[in-house]
Amino acid sequence: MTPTTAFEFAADPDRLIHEPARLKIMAVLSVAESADFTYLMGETGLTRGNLSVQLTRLKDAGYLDIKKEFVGRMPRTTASLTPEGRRAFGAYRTYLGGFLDATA
Amino acid sequence: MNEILKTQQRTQSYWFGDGITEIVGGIALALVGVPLYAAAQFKMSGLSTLALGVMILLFPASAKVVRFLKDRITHARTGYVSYPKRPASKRRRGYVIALLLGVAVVSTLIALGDQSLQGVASRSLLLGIGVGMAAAFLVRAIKLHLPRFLAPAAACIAVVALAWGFEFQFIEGLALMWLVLGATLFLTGSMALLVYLHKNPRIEVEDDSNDGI
Repeated sequence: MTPTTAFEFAADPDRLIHEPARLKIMAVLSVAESADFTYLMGETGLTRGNLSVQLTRLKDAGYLDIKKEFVGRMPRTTASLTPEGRRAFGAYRTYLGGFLDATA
Repeated sequence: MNEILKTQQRTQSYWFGDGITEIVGGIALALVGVPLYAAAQFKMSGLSTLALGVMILLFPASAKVVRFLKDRITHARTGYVSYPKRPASKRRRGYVIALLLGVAVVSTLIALGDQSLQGVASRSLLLGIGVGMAAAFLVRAIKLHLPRFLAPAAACIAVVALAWGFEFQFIEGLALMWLVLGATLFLTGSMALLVYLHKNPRIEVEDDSNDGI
Protein backbone atom coordinates (compact mmCIF):
# COMPACT_ATOMS: atom_id res chain seq x y z
CA MET A 1 0.00 0.00 0.00
CA THR A 2 1.43 3.38 -0.96
CA PRO A 3 2.11 5.56 2.12
CA THR A 4 0.07 8.76 2.13
CA THR A 5 0.87 10.37 5.49
CA ALA A 6 4.07 11.77 6.90
CA PHE A 7 4.01 9.13 9.67
CA GLU A 8 3.60 6.31 7.20
CA PHE A 9 6.46 7.69 5.16
CA ALA A 10 8.63 7.97 8.29
CA ALA A 11 8.15 4.23 8.84
CA ASP A 12 8.55 3.23 5.23
CA PRO A 13 11.64 4.73 3.59
CA ASP A 14 14.68 2.66 2.97
CA ARG A 15 16.65 3.61 6.10
CA LEU A 16 19.85 2.51 4.47
CA ILE A 17 19.51 5.11 1.70
CA HIS A 18 17.80 7.72 3.86
CA GLU A 19 20.99 8.55 5.80
CA PRO A 20 22.46 11.74 4.23
CA ALA A 21 25.95 10.47 3.40
CA ARG A 22 24.67 7.24 1.86
CA LEU A 23 21.96 9.17 0.02
CA LYS A 24 24.67 11.31 -1.59
CA ILE A 25 26.66 8.21 -2.54
CA MET A 26 23.60 6.65 -4.14
CA ALA A 27 22.70 9.93 -5.86
CA VAL A 28 26.17 10.17 -7.44
CA LEU A 29 26.19 6.56 -8.60
CA SER A 30 22.63 6.77 -9.93
CA VAL A 31 23.87 9.10 -12.72
CA ALA A 32 27.27 7.49 -13.33
CA GLU A 33 28.25 3.95 -14.22
CA SER A 34 31.00 4.09 -11.61
CA ALA A 35 32.98 6.52 -9.49
CA ASP A 36 36.12 6.08 -7.49
CA PHE A 37 36.93 6.61 -3.84
CA THR A 38 38.56 10.01 -4.35
CA TYR A 39 35.58 11.43 -6.20
CA LEU A 40 33.11 10.08 -3.65
CA MET A 41 35.18 11.57 -0.82
CA GLY A 42 35.09 14.95 -2.54
CA GLU A 43 31.34 14.86 -3.14
CA THR A 44 30.30 13.54 0.27
CA GLY A 45 32.85 15.42 2.37
CA LEU A 46 33.42 12.26 4.39
CA THR A 47 36.73 11.15 5.79
CA ARG A 48 38.35 8.11 4.26
CA GLY A 49 37.38 5.88 7.15
CA ASN A 50 33.79 7.09 7.29
CA LEU A 51 33.34 6.66 3.53
CA SER A 52 34.69 3.10 3.78
CA VAL A 53 32.11 2.31 6.44
CA GLN A 54 29.22 3.72 4.39
CA LEU A 55 30.33 1.93 1.21
CA THR A 56 30.68 -1.33 3.08
CA ARG A 57 27.16 -1.02 4.47
CA LEU A 58 25.74 -0.40 1.02
CA LYS A 59 27.79 -3.24 -0.41
CA ASP A 60 26.64 -5.64 2.31
CA ALA A 61 23.03 -4.72 1.50
CA GLY A 62 23.66 -5.65 -2.12
CA TYR A 63 23.23 -2.09 -3.42
CA LEU A 64 26.84 -1.55 -4.54
CA ASP A 65 29.57 -3.40 -6.34
CA ILE A 66 33.10 -2.46 -5.30
CA LYS A 67 35.94 -3.11 -7.70
CA LYS A 68 39.64 -2.74 -7.06
CA GLU A 69 41.98 -2.42 -10.02
CA PHE A 70 45.24 -0.93 -11.07
CA VAL A 71 45.53 1.97 -13.49
CA GLY A 72 49.16 1.85 -14.42
CA ARG A 73 50.77 1.46 -11.03
CA MET A 74 48.09 3.33 -9.10
CA PRO A 75 45.39 1.32 -7.33
CA ARG A 76 41.84 2.50 -7.89
CA THR A 77 38.72 1.49 -5.96
CA THR A 78 35.48 2.14 -7.84
CA ALA A 79 31.89 1.73 -6.75
CA SER A 80 28.86 1.17 -8.95
CA LEU A 81 25.19 0.50 -8.29
CA THR A 82 23.90 -3.03 -8.68
CA PRO A 83 20.53 -3.54 -10.39
CA GLU A 84 19.07 -4.00 -6.91
CA GLY A 85 20.68 -0.74 -5.82
CA ARG A 86 19.16 1.11 -8.78
CA ARG A 87 15.74 -0.33 -7.99
CA ALA A 88 16.08 0.62 -4.33
CA PHE A 89 17.12 4.18 -5.18
CA GLY A 90 14.24 4.48 -7.65
CA ALA A 91 11.81 3.23 -5.00
CA TYR A 92 13.24 5.70 -2.47
CA ARG A 93 12.71 8.57 -4.91
CA THR A 94 9.11 7.44 -5.43
CA TYR A 95 8.48 7.38 -1.67
CA LEU A 96 10.05 10.82 -1.33
CA GLY A 97 7.78 12.13 -4.06
CA GLY A 98 4.78 10.64 -2.24
CA PHE A 99 5.85 12.27 1.02
CA LEU A 100 6.18 15.69 -0.61
CA ASP A 101 2.74 15.28 -2.22
CA ALA A 102 1.22 14.25 1.11
CA THR A 103 2.61 17.28 2.90
CA ALA A 104 1.98 19.85 0.16
CA MET B 1 18.09 23.65 -6.25
CA ASN B 2 18.78 21.06 -3.56
CA GLU B 3 22.15 19.63 -2.77
CA ILE B 4 21.32 16.17 -4.16
CA LEU B 5 20.35 17.55 -7.57
CA LYS B 6 23.49 19.71 -7.63
CA THR B 7 25.58 16.63 -6.81
CA GLN B 8 23.97 14.69 -9.66
CA GLN B 9 24.48 17.54 -12.13
CA ARG B 10 28.14 17.91 -11.17
CA THR B 11 28.61 14.16 -11.67
CA GLN B 12 26.88 14.16 -15.05
CA SER B 13 29.06 17.01 -16.32
CA TYR B 14 32.25 15.81 -14.61
CA TRP B 15 33.70 14.15 -17.74
CA PHE B 16 33.63 17.52 -19.51
CA GLY B 17 34.57 19.69 -16.53
CA ASP B 18 38.31 19.69 -17.14
CA GLY B 19 38.13 20.58 -20.85
CA ILE B 20 40.46 17.75 -21.87
CA THR B 21 37.91 16.09 -24.16
CA GLU B 22 37.39 19.38 -26.01
CA ILE B 23 41.11 20.08 -26.35
CA VAL B 24 41.87 16.66 -27.82
CA GLY B 25 38.72 16.64 -29.95
CA GLY B 26 39.44 20.14 -31.21
CA ILE B 27 42.98 19.21 -32.25
CA ALA B 28 41.71 16.08 -34.02
CA LEU B 29 39.07 18.03 -35.94
CA ALA B 30 41.56 20.71 -36.97
CA LEU B 31 44.11 18.10 -38.10
CA VAL B 32 41.51 16.61 -40.41
CA GLY B 33 40.12 19.97 -41.48
CA VAL B 34 43.45 21.43 -42.63
CA PRO B 35 44.28 18.88 -45.39
CA LEU B 36 40.62 18.66 -46.38
CA TYR B 37 40.39 22.45 -46.82
CA ALA B 38 43.68 22.51 -48.70
CA ALA B 39 42.39 19.72 -50.95
CA ALA B 40 39.28 21.78 -51.76
CA GLN B 41 41.31 24.95 -52.40
CA PHE B 42 44.13 23.42 -54.47
CA LYS B 43 42.10 20.59 -56.05
CA MET B 44 44.59 17.94 -54.88
CA SER B 45 42.88 14.60 -54.30
CA GLY B 46 45.96 13.33 -52.43
CA LEU B 47 45.21 15.73 -49.61
CA SER B 48 41.65 14.40 -49.37
CA THR B 49 43.10 10.93 -48.99
CA LEU B 50 45.47 12.25 -46.34
CA ALA B 51 42.53 13.79 -44.48
CA LEU B 52 40.64 10.52 -44.64
CA GLY B 53 43.68 8.61 -43.36
CA VAL B 54 44.17 11.08 -40.53
CA MET B 55 40.50 10.73 -39.59
CA ILE B 56 40.60 6.92 -39.58
CA LEU B 57 43.74 6.84 -37.42
CA LEU B 58 43.19 9.86 -35.24
CA PHE B 59 39.59 9.67 -34.11
CA PRO B 60 39.86 6.27 -32.37
CA ALA B 61 43.29 7.22 -30.99
CA SER B 62 41.93 10.45 -29.53
CA ALA B 63 39.77 8.49 -27.07
CA LYS B 64 42.90 6.79 -25.73
CA VAL B 65 44.69 10.14 -25.53
CA VAL B 66 41.79 11.60 -23.52
CA ARG B 67 41.87 8.70 -21.05
CA PHE B 68 45.66 8.96 -20.75
CA LEU B 69 45.53 12.68 -19.97
CA LYS B 70 42.59 12.32 -17.60
CA ASP B 71 44.37 9.59 -15.62
CA ARG B 72 47.35 11.87 -15.10
CA ILE B 73 45.66 15.25 -14.70
CA THR B 74 42.05 14.89 -13.52
CA HIS B 75 41.76 11.54 -11.78
CA ALA B 76 44.85 12.26 -9.70
CA ARG B 77 43.24 15.49 -8.45
CA THR B 78 39.50 15.04 -8.10
CA GLY B 79 38.95 11.36 -8.78
CA TYR B 80 37.44 9.18 -11.49
CA VAL B 81 33.89 9.03 -12.82
CA SER B 82 33.14 6.81 -15.78
CA TYR B 83 32.16 8.32 -19.11
CA PRO B 84 28.39 8.85 -19.21
CA LYS B 85 27.18 6.05 -21.49
CA ARG B 86 23.77 5.98 -23.04
CA PRO B 87 21.79 2.77 -22.50
CA ALA B 88 22.39 0.12 -25.17
CA SER B 89 18.85 0.40 -26.53
CA LYS B 90 19.25 4.16 -27.10
CA ARG B 91 22.64 3.63 -28.77
CA ARG B 92 21.14 1.02 -31.10
CA ARG B 93 18.30 3.38 -31.95
CA GLY B 94 20.85 6.12 -32.69
CA TYR B 95 22.79 3.85 -35.05
CA VAL B 96 19.61 2.87 -36.91
CA ILE B 97 18.54 6.50 -37.27
CA ALA B 98 22.02 7.50 -38.48
CA LEU B 99 22.00 4.67 -41.03
CA LEU B 100 18.54 5.58 -42.30
CA LEU B 101 19.51 9.25 -42.54
CA GLY B 102 22.68 8.38 -44.44
CA VAL B 103 20.76 6.23 -46.92
CA ALA B 104 18.14 8.97 -47.37
CA VAL B 105 20.76 11.66 -47.97
CA VAL B 106 22.77 9.62 -50.48
CA SER B 107 19.62 8.56 -52.33
CA THR B 108 18.44 12.17 -52.54
CA LEU B 109 21.79 13.38 -53.85
CA ILE B 110 21.83 10.66 -56.50
CA ALA B 111 18.21 11.36 -57.47
CA LEU B 112 18.97 15.09 -57.84
CA GLY B 113 22.09 14.33 -59.91
CA ASP B 114 24.41 15.96 -57.37
CA GLN B 115 26.83 13.08 -56.80
CA SER B 116 29.81 15.42 -57.08
CA LEU B 117 28.57 17.41 -54.06
CA GLN B 118 28.72 20.75 -55.83
CA GLY B 119 25.08 21.76 -56.18
CA VAL B 120 22.39 23.32 -54.05
CA ALA B 121 21.42 19.95 -52.60
CA SER B 122 24.94 19.49 -51.24
CA ARG B 123 24.99 23.00 -49.79
CA SER B 124 21.68 22.20 -48.15
CA LEU B 125 23.25 19.04 -46.74
CA LEU B 126 26.07 21.13 -45.30
CA LEU B 127 23.52 23.48 -43.79
CA GLY B 128 21.72 20.52 -42.23
CA ILE B 129 24.96 19.12 -40.79
CA GLY B 130 25.93 22.50 -39.33
CA VAL B 131 22.53 23.09 -37.77
CA GLY B 132 22.46 19.54 -36.44
CA MET B 133 25.88 19.92 -34.81
CA ALA B 134 24.94 23.32 -33.39
CA ALA B 135 21.79 21.78 -31.92
CA ALA B 136 23.81 18.94 -30.37
CA PHE B 137 26.15 21.41 -28.66
CA LEU B 138 23.21 23.52 -27.53
CA VAL B 139 21.52 20.49 -25.95
CA ARG B 140 24.76 19.58 -24.25
CA ALA B 141 25.18 23.12 -22.93
CA ILE B 142 21.70 23.04 -21.40
CA LYS B 143 21.68 19.46 -20.08
CA LEU B 144 25.15 19.60 -18.54
CA HIS B 145 24.91 23.25 -17.39
CA LEU B 146 28.08 24.08 -19.30
CA PRO B 147 27.40 27.36 -21.14
CA ARG B 148 30.80 27.26 -22.85
CA PHE B 149 29.31 24.71 -25.29
CA LEU B 150 27.32 27.60 -26.74
CA ALA B 151 30.56 28.79 -28.38
CA PRO B 152 31.01 25.75 -30.68
CA ALA B 153 27.26 25.87 -31.41
CA ALA B 154 27.64 29.48 -32.54
CA ALA B 155 30.76 28.59 -34.53
CA CYS B 156 28.85 25.91 -36.49
CA ILE B 157 26.04 28.33 -37.30
CA ALA B 158 28.50 31.05 -38.33
CA VAL B 159 30.37 28.74 -40.71
CA VAL B 160 27.27 27.34 -42.42
CA ALA B 161 25.90 30.87 -42.82
CA LEU B 162 29.20 31.92 -44.39
CA ALA B 163 29.30 28.81 -46.60
CA TRP B 164 25.72 29.36 -47.74
CA GLY B 165 26.28 33.06 -48.40
CA PHE B 166 29.47 32.55 -50.38
CA GLU B 167 28.20 29.34 -52.05
CA PHE B 168 31.04 27.13 -50.80
CA GLN B 169 31.13 23.63 -52.14
CA PHE B 170 30.31 20.83 -49.75
CA ILE B 171 33.88 19.64 -49.04
CA GLU B 172 35.18 23.18 -48.68
CA GLY B 173 32.39 24.14 -46.30
CA LEU B 174 32.72 20.95 -44.27
CA ALA B 175 36.47 21.38 -43.94
CA LEU B 176 36.06 24.99 -42.85
CA MET B 177 33.48 23.95 -40.29
CA TRP B 178 35.82 21.35 -38.84
CA LEU B 179 38.68 23.84 -38.73
CA VAL B 180 36.64 26.54 -37.00
CA LEU B 181 34.95 24.06 -34.69
CA GLY B 182 38.29 22.47 -33.82
CA ALA B 183 39.81 25.85 -32.99
CA THR B 184 36.79 26.85 -30.91
CA LEU B 185 36.78 23.61 -28.94
CA PHE B 186 40.52 23.91 -28.34
CA LEU B 187 40.06 27.43 -26.95
CA THR B 188 37.06 26.66 -24.74
CA GLY B 189 38.67 23.43 -23.54
CA SER B 190 41.93 25.20 -22.70
CA MET B 191 40.12 27.86 -20.67
CA ALA B 192 38.20 25.16 -18.83
CA LEU B 193 41.42 23.27 -18.09
CA LEU B 194 43.13 26.39 -16.73
CA VAL B 195 40.18 27.06 -14.42
CA TYR B 196 40.11 23.41 -13.32
CA LEU B 197 43.85 23.35 -12.55
CA HIS B 198 43.59 26.62 -10.65
CA LYS B 199 40.71 25.32 -8.52
CA ASN B 200 42.18 21.85 -7.97
CA PRO B 201 45.88 21.85 -7.23
CA ARG B 202 47.45 18.44 -7.21
CA ILE B 203 47.30 16.75 -3.84
CA GLU B 204 49.02 13.66 -2.51
CA VAL B 205 46.36 10.98 -2.94
CA GLU B 206 46.54 8.22 -0.37
CA ASP B 207 46.89 4.70 -1.59
CA ASP B 208 43.36 3.37 -2.25
CA SER B 209 44.40 -0.11 -1.24
CA ASN B 210 44.20 1.03 2.40
CA ASP B 211 40.59 2.17 2.13
CA GLY B 212 39.35 -0.63 4.36
CA ILE B 213 36.87 -2.17 1.95
